[in-house]
Amino acid sequence: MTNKQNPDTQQNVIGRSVPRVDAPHKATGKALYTADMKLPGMLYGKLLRSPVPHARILNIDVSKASSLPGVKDVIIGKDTPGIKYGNWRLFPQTQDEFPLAMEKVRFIGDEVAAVAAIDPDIAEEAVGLIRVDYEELPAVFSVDEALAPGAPLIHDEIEELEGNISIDRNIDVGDLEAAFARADLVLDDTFTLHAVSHAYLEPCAVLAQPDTEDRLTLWTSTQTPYIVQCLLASTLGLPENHVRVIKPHVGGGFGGKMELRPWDFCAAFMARRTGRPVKFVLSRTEELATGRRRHAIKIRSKVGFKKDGTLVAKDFEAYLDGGAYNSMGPTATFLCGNFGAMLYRYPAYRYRGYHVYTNNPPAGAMRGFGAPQAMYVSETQMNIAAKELDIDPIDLRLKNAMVTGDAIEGVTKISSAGFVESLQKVAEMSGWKEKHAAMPPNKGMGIGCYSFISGGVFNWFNTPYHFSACEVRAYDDGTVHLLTMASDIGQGSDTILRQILAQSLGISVENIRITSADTTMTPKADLGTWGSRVTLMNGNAILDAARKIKENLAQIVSLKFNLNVIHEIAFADGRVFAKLKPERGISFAEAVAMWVTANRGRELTVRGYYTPRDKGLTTPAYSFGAQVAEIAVDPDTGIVTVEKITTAHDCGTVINPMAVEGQLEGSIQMGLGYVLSEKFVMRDGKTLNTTFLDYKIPSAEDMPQIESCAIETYEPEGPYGAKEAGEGLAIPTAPAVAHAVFEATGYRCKELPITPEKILRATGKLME
Amino acid sequence: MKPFNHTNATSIAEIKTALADGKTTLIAGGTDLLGTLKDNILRDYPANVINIKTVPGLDYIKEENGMLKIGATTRLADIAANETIQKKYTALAQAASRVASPHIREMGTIAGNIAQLHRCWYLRKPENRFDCKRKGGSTCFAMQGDNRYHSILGAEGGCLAVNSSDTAPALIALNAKIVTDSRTIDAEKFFEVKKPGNTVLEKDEIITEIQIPEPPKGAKSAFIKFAFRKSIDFPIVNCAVMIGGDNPRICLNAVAPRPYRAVKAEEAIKGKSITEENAAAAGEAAVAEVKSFPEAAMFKKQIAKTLVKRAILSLA
Repeated sequence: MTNKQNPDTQQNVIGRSVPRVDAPHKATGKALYTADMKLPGMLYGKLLRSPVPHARILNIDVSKASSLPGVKDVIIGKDTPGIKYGNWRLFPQTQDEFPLAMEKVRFIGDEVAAVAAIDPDIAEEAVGLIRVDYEELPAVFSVDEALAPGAPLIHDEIEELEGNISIDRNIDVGDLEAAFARADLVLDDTFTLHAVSHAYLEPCAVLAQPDTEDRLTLWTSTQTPYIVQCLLASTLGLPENHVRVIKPHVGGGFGGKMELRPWDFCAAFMARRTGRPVKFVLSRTEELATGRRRHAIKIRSKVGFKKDGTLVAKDFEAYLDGGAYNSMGPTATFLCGNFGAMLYRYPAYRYRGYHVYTNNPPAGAMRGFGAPQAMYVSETQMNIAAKELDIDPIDLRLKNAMVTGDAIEGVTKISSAGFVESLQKVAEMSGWKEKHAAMPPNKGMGIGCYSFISGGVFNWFNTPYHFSACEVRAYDDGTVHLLTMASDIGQGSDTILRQILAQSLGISVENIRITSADTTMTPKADLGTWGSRVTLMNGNAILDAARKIKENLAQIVSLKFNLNVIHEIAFADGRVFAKLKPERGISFAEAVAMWVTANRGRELTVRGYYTPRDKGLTTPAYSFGAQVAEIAVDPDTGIVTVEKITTAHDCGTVINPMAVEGQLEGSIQMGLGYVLSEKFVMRDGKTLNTTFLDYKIPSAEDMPQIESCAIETYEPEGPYGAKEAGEGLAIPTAPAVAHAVFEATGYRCKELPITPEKILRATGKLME
Repeated sequence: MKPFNHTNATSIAEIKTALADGKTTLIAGGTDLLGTLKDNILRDYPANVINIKTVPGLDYIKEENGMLKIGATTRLADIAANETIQKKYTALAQAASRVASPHIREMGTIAGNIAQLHRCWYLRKPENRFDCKRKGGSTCFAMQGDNRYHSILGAEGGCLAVNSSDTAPALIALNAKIVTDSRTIDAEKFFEVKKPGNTVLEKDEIITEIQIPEPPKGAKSAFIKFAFRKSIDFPIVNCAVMIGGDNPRICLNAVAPRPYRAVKAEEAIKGKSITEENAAAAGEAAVAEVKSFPEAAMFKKQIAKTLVKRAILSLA
């Protein structure tokens, strides 16, 4: 606990619920999102999408669309430079997307053409006037179909590929066969996990403005301005620095906005052709029908235990339905394997992961990419094993739980783990021992646990720059300007990063101004908001910068008071002073003013950087946690009411309790949707439920009572000991609720989501 | 949404004249209409929209001559909150309180709620993607397609879409009448349409009032709804019952193209005491005519009989 505190003051900024810097503007409707922006002469863009799942494009006739009054530009793939892109730049063969389809379309919704017109209705009308002749090809809509002999090749243009498996990933630890031979209980289960939507409130939007020179500015709803900048430049054939990407306020992303998207390209490309600003705003229907989604994964998991509950081995095989393009599928394939081996100690572990192309809308990153699916399986099997071995599910977990210092050989190591403490605390808070043993009929209590990364290590984007960077400018009025490419997409990083800087410089949060997520104005680079990386990675870059500011100001104070070299210089309460002689000090503002004078007018500006080094392949730090769900099942209708969710979680040092609470509540809502109500209704590659009426995210009234407790560990690699609290929390709700449903009904769900109909079927209510 | 002319009407006569041109649509709360226009789901797009909310004297709840009278533009939120309705016409208050969400209940009217278009994701697919039977086309796409939320009591005019009104079954259970500018229709008959459309209303006919006779002495009513979420959702099945008079009345909705009066269930419970056993028997009787198609029928059947049983038991 003491580690997180600034030893020089009682007024800690870390651990305080500092109100969000963006809250007043958002609450009063003043915050500008991309869709709100207008520029003089602006054109409105619309996309033409493929109505068929797999086809060769024979001919496209845009003549009628082009001649419609008010239409200023119509483009198809052939008009563009035809350069492929994708986030996994390190492996160019994974970059499988064109901004607009060239030879083929591969899913219903694949972007084929774009129109820019003087108003959205004209653009819409023009899109309807484009005629495309398709030669339809056989299509596949599941992993099984895609891997069947004779299945059509979805990316026949990629020479390296022989079938529809685009990526595979193996992990081998220990002697699997020998380990299984020692097992007293072997579970062998197959799970079918479904695709769900990010359902961010703000649909994707972009506004591109051409510059007088060969340059352009792009405002776009993104989690990753740097990635958009780089990939947009490469697809346009421009130097990276000619593209400026600015992230305005963003209404959520959850992994769905971390790539260059066709509308980004089309807005930029048509803006350059027409010389006018071009804006695209996607509709909710477009988002739900064609947008990225969580990977549907089929997982076969074989896991062995000793009689006393000791885990001995696990054989984990995952087939990810990637849809038509790779998107972030390689990362999901990687993380699924990593998290199949997490939480518990497996002396032997084998993972075979396959990312498979189908003609479904592409899956991408979504809050945990690969990890929620892997841990739904792991946690459910822990609960099955607990039942089989007649051991309490929490005791079984405690017996095998990872602790600080554990490792997955050759993959990762755990530098801090509050998992055991989380299990103990959640058992205590929920009254597990007494309540779980004596649940009334139709009620159930279940447990699910999680771990997640605090940012990724593997440099798939192949950036030559630091993973995170910032610039800090200190002024003689005592204020500080923080410039960083880190992107606040609603998770609160603009506030959290200010807290970290305020704490380290000993000044108040109010004295820090932040400019963030503008690729031209902020130092290179920041890989963006994904993988729960911002607090740890950007926080460390800020600490690096703060250290440099403090070195400079310490010189000034030492000189002014002629301090002995052994003095520690403290920064607290807006002052810079000798720690042991606090009266020998000056205000932060004075110190900066003196530094400027001493440096003959130079501005006190420093840069800070962070890249995880020697931290394995996966992440510098893992969060952990345990969650208990209490539910009631209506035996006659099968409807599940989630009554209470209790969570104990280890996110290292909590920097802002209110922000963590917000993440937790949102995570539970998302987790409940995943396990109980959300599902895409697909028919031959077509998404049928494309509104929030038919795609059912839980409503406010469906939310349970929530109790939580932070188990504070100190993560040595984290700023002030902090780890992630963004994605991991969204993982445990699904297995916990599923376990509770089993306890209440005897129905063990291996095919999400759990619906009333499935429960009634399992309990024999639908027999005739 | 495409452009249209919007007029604030001042009288029913004015609306009637306007509707006669066949290019004009009436708007009240707009919670159903604006969705259909925004998504452009119908064959024809209206050139004009005429607003009935500005016609004075159509927003009231009053008891008069032994009956409850509700003006056509009375909002669902007001009906849900009205103490007389809560006490004497309980099923209606409960039904109104379960429609959609607070915002929609503040906009949506009672007349609009019973006149709403059917629910079917083919029928309601944007840009009139599926020109289906209910729109006058030749195909019911739900017959071959995904029909998990469709009729379990067979098609009507070849259409499997269900009526999803929450207040309609309550009004039928309460033996209400729908008053229009030209006639008075039994609530039950109001939905007996043979041609494309969703009610018996003529193109230029306007609902002006809902009348509910005072329930027989000792009669009580109740409404319950099953939906996947506690808010927003249309019913998978809903049910209203009135019991205590000589003739019990039980009505289900969202199980068929029109509200389904469960006559066999009424017979089963008639004259019997409200016990677990009798209520269950009525529930079974209510679903006696359920078809084995579509596949989801088994599930909705289970829900329907449960709701009938529970609605009856709630009045014990």
